[in-house]
Amino acid sequence: MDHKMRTLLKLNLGASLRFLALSFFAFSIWGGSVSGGSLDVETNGEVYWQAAQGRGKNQSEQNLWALKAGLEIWWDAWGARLEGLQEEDLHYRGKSYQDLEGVPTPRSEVRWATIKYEQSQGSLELGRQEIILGRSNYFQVADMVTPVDFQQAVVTDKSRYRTPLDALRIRYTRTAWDLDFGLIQDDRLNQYPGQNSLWYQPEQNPCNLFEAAGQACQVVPDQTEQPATYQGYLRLRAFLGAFDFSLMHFEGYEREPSFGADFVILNFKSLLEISQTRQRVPSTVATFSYTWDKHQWDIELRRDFQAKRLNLASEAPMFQEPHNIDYGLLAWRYPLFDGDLSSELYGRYISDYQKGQTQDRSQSFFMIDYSKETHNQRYKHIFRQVVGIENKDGLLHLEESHRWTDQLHFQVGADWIWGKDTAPLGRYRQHSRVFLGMKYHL
Amino acid sequence: MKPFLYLAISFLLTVHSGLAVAQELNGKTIMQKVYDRDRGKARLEAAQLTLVNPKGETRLRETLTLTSKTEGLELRLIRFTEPKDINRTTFLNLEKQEGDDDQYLYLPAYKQVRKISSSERSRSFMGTDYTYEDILTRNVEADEHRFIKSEELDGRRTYLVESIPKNFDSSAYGRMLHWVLPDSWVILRSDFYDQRGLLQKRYQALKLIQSDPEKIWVVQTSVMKNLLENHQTTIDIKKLQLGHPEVEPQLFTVQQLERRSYPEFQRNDLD
Repeated sequence: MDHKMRTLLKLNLGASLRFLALSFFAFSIWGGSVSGGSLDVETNGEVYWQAAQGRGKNQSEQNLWALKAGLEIWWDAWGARLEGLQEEDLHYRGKSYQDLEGVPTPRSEVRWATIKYEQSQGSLELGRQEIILGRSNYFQVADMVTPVDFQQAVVTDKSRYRTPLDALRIRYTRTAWDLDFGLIQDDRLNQYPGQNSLWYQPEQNPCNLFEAAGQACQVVPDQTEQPATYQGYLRLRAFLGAFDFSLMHFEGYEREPSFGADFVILNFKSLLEISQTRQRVPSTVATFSYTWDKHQWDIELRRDFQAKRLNLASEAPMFQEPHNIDYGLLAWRYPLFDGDLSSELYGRYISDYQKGQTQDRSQSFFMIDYSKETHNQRYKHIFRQVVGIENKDGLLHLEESHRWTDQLHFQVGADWIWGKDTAPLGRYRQHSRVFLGMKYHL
Repeated sequence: MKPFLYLAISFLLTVHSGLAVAQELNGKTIMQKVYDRDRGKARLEAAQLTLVNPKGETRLRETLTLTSKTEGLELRLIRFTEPKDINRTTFLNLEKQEGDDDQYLYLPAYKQVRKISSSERSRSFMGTDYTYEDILTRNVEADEHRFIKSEELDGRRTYLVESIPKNFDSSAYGRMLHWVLPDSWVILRSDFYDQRGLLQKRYQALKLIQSDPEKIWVVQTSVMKNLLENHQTTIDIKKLQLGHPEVEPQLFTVQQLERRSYPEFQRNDLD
């Protein structure tokens, strides 16, 4: 077992134990509510099964066939919330269904474990959570803390999967404006692509740039450990009729990894060490949204100010680049044929690789999404297409879901991915598949 | 001289009372009274929605609704609590001084708030027979109102009013007929015609009660029938509290839609 697998196993085991322990705690409270009837505990969950057949070849050159099962469960009691995920491959032929880092899908994690204090003028929430700041559906420009995981969005049915982080979030809300403040600790391991990685891209690998500059090539192996990062943001948001503005400043700090207890809540000792940080990484994000009669327009702009920006663990590696990057996103929604048509045009301009080395390029994607639900919400049709404009790669997702009852839902669909191996979407093409799934809401 | 004076006075009284009746039976005045009707300040209600499809199959939804007023404008928030797969889906309706209300929908699966644009307003609200347009606080000035006649409906005297949108782009309906109870200004029945003139939907208030001690009329049970699709939604209010001290205007903001909990009932005014 290599180092990476051992690390991942350790992480999964740790998360499982934590989830089980906290589940037991929550069940105890739940049991208390049944007997005492005095506590307000809300329980939700879903069990699902999914079978998938790959179209092409996976990494082991075998056709992919997998059957997996999962359980997501969450409880709300008093001001606390606990949410967990457990997913296992029941059967597979070829190679286990994998994400793009070669990590098998079975996993267990605590997705949400917070205590929250709510008041009519704001809230305070402490613990593992998702922090959603942007308004876009697919490409994430303003969602700098816990964006939708692009890998999951492309190759699994978890199109809304976000990697949660440990954070303290305080919100002060007024009718016309609000302030949102967050402190985030990211202690999880990260991977940076090396030559053996699926993420390896010749034009992005520093080795090639060194060669171009006439310097000795430095082979970059997969880096599986990342110094812990601390991030903080302050966002001001204002509502003016049909307009919605927000301005957010984001700061990140990195430090050498230290050993200590890994809690699901903030590690305060580590926070105190912030004065020893080595690198400050500021970023500013402005968003603008306007609802014009029949259409909704969202514009998100982002500017990173330093040469090395934060390597956000929750972002897919294809978006983790040590460059100065300007991002822009234009999102548009329009109800059509009784359905919901939306599209997003996403572009980024990348420059200033390092001092003395400049590389300018741009990358853009176009996404179109259409979903329609029948009047009684029994059937839902989903069509989604994403196209990489420069690389001519893309993804087509078709899905039909049926709500048999309020508890039991079925889904059938297909993902078709095309493009060159080096293209951002094309490299996923071995994940083209058809799938059949069933979901039961507890 | 005296007979002439009596004649003049009686003529003036007749003209005056005739004018008063005409004013009372003016369609706009009736609908203004419906709009101004006291529905109770800081209102909290729990309701069960029963959806029945053409095969007679039923599906249940449960909601918690908060209503408040600020500067004479109504604020309403509806949270779905059952079934589990739509639990916490929350809708916010903010009445505006001019123009259509602002409507927002919080979808917990996406953990994001969406603004409902005007062209979405003819769509079904969460699979029910109500549309987003039916839920908004329709401004009296948005329609031309005409009093048609007094009519007996279910053994009760009602005023029948026809309302036609001034701007057809602003509504999915071409014409509406309302049967209004003159003693309470509650709408007992409404017929909604689409823009082709077809009778599309019928709303009926099935059970009216008067709260104690506020003496406010409450439609406890109502039904909206989609006559073209043979589908119907019944709303039955199970719990109600008027004048809830924690239902404050600050709760009715886009940012508050993600809240885990809202105020709880301290009593049930329906008991």
